[in-house]
Amino acid sequence: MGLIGNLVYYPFHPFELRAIIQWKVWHNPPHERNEAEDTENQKLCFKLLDMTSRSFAAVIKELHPEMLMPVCIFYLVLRGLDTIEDDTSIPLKTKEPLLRSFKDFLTQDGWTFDGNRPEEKDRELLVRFDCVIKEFKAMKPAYQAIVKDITDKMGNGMADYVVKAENDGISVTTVEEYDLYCYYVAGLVGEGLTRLFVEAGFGNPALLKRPNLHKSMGLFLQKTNIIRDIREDFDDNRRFWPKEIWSKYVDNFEDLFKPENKELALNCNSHMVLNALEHMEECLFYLAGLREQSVFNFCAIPQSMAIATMNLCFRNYDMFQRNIKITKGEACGLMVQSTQNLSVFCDTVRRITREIHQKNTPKDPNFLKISIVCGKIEKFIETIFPSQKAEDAQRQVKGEQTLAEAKKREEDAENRNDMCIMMLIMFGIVFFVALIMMGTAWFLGARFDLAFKEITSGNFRPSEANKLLARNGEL
Amino acid sequence: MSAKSRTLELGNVLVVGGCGFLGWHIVDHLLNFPSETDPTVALPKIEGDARFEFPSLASRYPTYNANVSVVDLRTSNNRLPGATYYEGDITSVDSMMEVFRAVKPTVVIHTATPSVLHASKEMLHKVNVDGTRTLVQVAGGEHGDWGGKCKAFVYTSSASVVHDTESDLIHVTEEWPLIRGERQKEYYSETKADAEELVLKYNRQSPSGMVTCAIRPAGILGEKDATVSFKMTQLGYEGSPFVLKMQLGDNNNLFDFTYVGNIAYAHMLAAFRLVATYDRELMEKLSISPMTPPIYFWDAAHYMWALVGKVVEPQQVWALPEGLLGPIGGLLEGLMGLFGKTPSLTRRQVRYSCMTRYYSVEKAKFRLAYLPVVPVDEGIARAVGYVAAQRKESQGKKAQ
Repeated sequence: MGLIGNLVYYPFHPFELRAIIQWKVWHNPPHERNEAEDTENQKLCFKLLDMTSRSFAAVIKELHPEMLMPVCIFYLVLRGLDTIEDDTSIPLKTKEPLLRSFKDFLTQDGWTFDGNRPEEKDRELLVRFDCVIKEFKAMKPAYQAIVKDITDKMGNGMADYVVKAENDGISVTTVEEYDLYCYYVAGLVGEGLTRLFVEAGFGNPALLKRPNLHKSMGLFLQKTNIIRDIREDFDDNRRFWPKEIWSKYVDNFEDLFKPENKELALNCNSHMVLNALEHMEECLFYLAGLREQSVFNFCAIPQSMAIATMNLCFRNYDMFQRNIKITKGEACGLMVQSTQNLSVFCDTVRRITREIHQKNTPKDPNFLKISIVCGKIEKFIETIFPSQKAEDAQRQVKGEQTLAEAKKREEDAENRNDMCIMMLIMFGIVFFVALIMMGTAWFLGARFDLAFKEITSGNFRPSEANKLLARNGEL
Repeated sequence: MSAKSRTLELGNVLVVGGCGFLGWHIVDHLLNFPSETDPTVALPKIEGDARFEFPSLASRYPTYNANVSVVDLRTSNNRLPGATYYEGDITSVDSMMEVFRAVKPTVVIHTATPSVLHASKEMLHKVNVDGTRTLVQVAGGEHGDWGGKCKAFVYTSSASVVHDTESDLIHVTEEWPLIRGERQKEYYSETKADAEELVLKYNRQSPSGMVTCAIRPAGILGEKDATVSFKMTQLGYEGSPFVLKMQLGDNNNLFDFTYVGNIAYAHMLAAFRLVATYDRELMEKLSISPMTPPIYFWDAAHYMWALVGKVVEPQQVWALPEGLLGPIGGLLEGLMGLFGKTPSLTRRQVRYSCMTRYYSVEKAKFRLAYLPVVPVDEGIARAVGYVAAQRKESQGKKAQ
């Protein structure tokens, strides 16, 4: 949206505008970073971070000082790997060994790479990779080991994929393969980050015992991107939607984009959304295991963006025609809601889940499955934050008040008391003021005795004679 | 999700009410699904429609090793080959003793109950409370020796025993108190609660030391169901497009609908567990609600109607707020009450279709290792498929 677009859009969406202002003006990062204290090399790393990531740079920079550099370096290393994998100008013979041994470069002082084609957008990162290595070696050994291990796994996973793509073409056949691909691209990142958080004491160690949880965190984000980017990927001749799913709706992948197959494409899309939403419960479970605010924010923001994107894509044919995105206002609102606590976050997830459910249509073969998955998400939120309790029900049956009711009753009684006291004071003041006024009047010569006599004899209005008198008196 | 690869030994099983809706399914499970292998008792089916093609039940539920007997008031309908059928009255000690002498059951599964919709109060009390008392006493050997020892007694209670018919129930566990007396506005639930308490009190207390438990289903549907799924499907066939577009409430209310096969499966798991614990430790009073994940109430209705070809799209729906409809229902009830009739829209119906009502399944998972084998979408499709096939059959007959 250009400036004019915004000028038209936001007056009609005041809540979104409010969210933008709220985020820009009121958001305080949990940890303020003092840039002046950064070394030259660190500054360079942050510059590279800004250059390579639009969305992640901001949240990374707000992380707890303990996590700041490790996560930043982790991100840059993986981005480096990605830049080699993405570059189609590098022949397989060079690419495969590069990917497989990338973990070893991390400890080679001064290693850089300038073999990327000039138009590769993150080329600069690898050209200046020596400064990433310098910071890597300055990290705690435990963090180094984690980053290195994940780099190793991801490098090999990418290499396998590149070899396979060279031989069989780029395509994902089964849902299992789709999950595996997403695991290499995003699930591993989740694993690495979780190990870093737990190592630093910012995450519950139990998170490592349930690898499904961090796997789901990564997979949900990746699947969201894959669903949203279908048009862009298709135009670039990449296909990530698994054949096992789309072949249920169309015979050839490109048929999804034909206007006559609109309904089929939408149904296929909801199948993909359904597949992604199945990770949401585990994502909530994961977030419940985080112990530090900045780490929570770091993990929660992308998740809420992802489910909002799912909501945007669900039953929306636009995504087969162009690239769609959530609005800036919505994004800011989500960021505000994702940087408080789990309860607020769950409310947001429930709201969006219901929006998805409300768009769900019975003509879609996935209709009831989507209803089930939405119900599951709501039910899971109930297990974390129950809205009804057995003890309350027990009390109710016994005719006792529940704690909440007792408290409310107490508050009500207090309010009534306050009210009475206020009224008393009010009347007191009125009485006092009236007394003074009458006293003053009497002092200035008002004849209350006459007035009283007139009233007792039934003359509530001044008599004509009195009126005349009064007029004459004025003259 | 498969419960397959298990064979459960149950010995002599007596299914009380085995010719009823749930009872028939329990017998079908125990006999390892003659309804899927024996064409003489096969359920009517819509052929050539992928929406009504399902993987077989036998391939997913466990295999059972059991001698199956059934006692019911009338046994002419809903019979399955392989079971022995006895006619008997659970409110009569003599009648029950006779059956027990013949069957010598090690396991009793008690599903018998009069219809919640049609039975009188006296009837409900007589069968549900008095009948259950007689049965549990006979099974426990209190009325004399019948030549065997019953180890396990599984009672089909109802999830409505913790519900006052009006409040929302959100992820409710078995720790919720029973709703009785004035607070309980449905007499059926009152009698079910009485009977459940009675059965659980008998845990280890009878001469035979029999172990007891109660299963509390909610929103049960499936083939042969004559209530929820049958009526909703019927409405789908006969309702005008105008009526079908109406929706009471905002449809954000989650509701438990459970496939009858999953409920039957929970009964068998419970029986198996009880037999296993009979020889070991004492078990605490056990009541369990085995459900599937809940779905939004109107999604269930819209799904059923879509299955019979009446698609109501979300943008076509007229969502009528409950606050408006409640009084209208009340007015109709009052007016038609003058003529001694019940209107097609009552306050209770309005409330039910707007309320959130679902139960926690944790205890069933934990105590019985229960998993909802058949997902709820398949359960609903099975129920609708059955009604559709029956309709087709009866129309075919009419055409001849």
